Amino acid sequence: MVTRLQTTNSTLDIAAIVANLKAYDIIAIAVILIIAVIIAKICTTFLKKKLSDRMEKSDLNVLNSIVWWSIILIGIFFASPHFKIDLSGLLVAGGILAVIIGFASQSVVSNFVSGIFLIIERPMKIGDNINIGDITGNVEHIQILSTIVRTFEGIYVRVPNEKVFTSNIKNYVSNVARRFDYKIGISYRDDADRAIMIIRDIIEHEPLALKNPEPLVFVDKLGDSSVDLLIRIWAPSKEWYDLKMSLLVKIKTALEANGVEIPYPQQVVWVQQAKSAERGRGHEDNGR
Amino acid sequence: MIQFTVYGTYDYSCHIREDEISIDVERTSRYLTYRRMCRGESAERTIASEKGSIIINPVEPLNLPKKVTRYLEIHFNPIFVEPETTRQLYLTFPVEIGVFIRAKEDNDLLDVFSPVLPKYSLYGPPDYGRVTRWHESSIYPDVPKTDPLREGVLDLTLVNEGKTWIEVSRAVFVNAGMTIWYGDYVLMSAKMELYSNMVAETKILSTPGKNGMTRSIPAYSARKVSVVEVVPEKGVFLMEFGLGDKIADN
Repeated sequence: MVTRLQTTNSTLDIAAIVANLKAYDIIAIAVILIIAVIIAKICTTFLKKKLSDRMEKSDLNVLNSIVWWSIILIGIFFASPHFKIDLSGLLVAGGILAVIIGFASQSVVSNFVSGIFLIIERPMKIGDNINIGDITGNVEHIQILSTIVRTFEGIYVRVPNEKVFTSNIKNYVSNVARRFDYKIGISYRDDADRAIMIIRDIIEHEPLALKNPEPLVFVDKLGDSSVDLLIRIWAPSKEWYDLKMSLLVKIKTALEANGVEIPYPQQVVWVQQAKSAERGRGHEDNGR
Repeated sequence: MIQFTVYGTYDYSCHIREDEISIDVERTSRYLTYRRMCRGESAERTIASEKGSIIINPVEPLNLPKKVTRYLEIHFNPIFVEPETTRQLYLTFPVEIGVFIRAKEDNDLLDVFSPVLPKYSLYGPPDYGRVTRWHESSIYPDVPKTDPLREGVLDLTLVNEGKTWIEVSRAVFVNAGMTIWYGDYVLMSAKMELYSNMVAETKILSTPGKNGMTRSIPAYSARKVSVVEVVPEKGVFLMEFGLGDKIADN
């Protein structure tokens, strides 16, 4: 005996359903729902433990609610045969509704799933200095649907998680240390070995220019106007930019104080000599 | 009154001159003014307090020029340690000078400075390694003579747990409560258990110093750094990127 769900007039004869339930069905429903609740509890506790330091509390609550109700609904689905309900009408309506919602929420779901993967993969943390596409700044929040970046100009940028997930992410502070380079040209008249020694001494006295990996200073190129020195320095990732800004001035000042010239781009043209030579030849011709 | 020793406890009117260090605390109308000069750098603080004391003691060398790491790396000439033996040796370590203000049973860090220029390094690869405060030391069989304002003595016990000879030329320690003692000299004790040429475990010990030595107030506790930040590794650091100059790339 099957009690048919009245989908046409949207009424559900609950009393009839309950009346048709046998003791075995009630026990089965209770067991299935209890198992679903236990599984949901385990899953949400696990998520809380694993994600509480990686996600904002509000996002975590939303995620936990979604996981909780999804598991409970799956439990109800498994228990539904024991209710002796014919769900065929609901399934058709539900199927159509699912297709509509699916199309409408495609980007939302995509951002949501990307957000989950970003939280698991963790390519960046709050406060990290990052670049995503053409956006460079500090990560302010990693939310379930979007990531908030504050650019160096102080502008608020909301980046959908789908874009973050599918873009190349440059995290400038993910590693504990990073290298930066300077290129400094000195005059051909100056002693390159002495200039290298002066620069090495400045780096040695800079606390945050790391001892290891060893800084490198070497002649990189014999340029048109200068002997180009390449300087490679490692610094703690969170300090490299301040160091880069302050150290170059110190190197310039030290080189100048020691008489090492940093030349402008220049080209030597021997005009005077050529004219003199021509004039000399003219005199010779006249003489003949 | 002019004191010629720097470490100790002072009242609110102290004037200290030592080598290139000068510290003055003076009462100016309703407030106290703290002034310090060291290596040409100066610091000034205004203190609102009626009764209390100024405590100056050596602190862990991890605060200058700013706090960038919790790890101290000491580099020394290579030493070969026999299998399954324990050996004691002395190294030096850099110290910073902490100035604390104490009133009503509460300490706070007022200033940290040092006549020593700090230098930092990297232990391990750039992605998984640790930024360290770097120091070069000689190896001493007995307590070496040091300038307590610049260097302390590290009493290091090397334990070779393996069945092969192990060469060591560096030790990295984590600051999870570096217990520093001071008296005639500054002392810290540590243990290094060697497992192979690549792996060792280090720990700073809280072994009491010699008689008459005073325990330093550490800078990290006075700053009330959260316990979560300091305690996780319980003071034990696993050196997994090598014990010598050759560093593993992981």
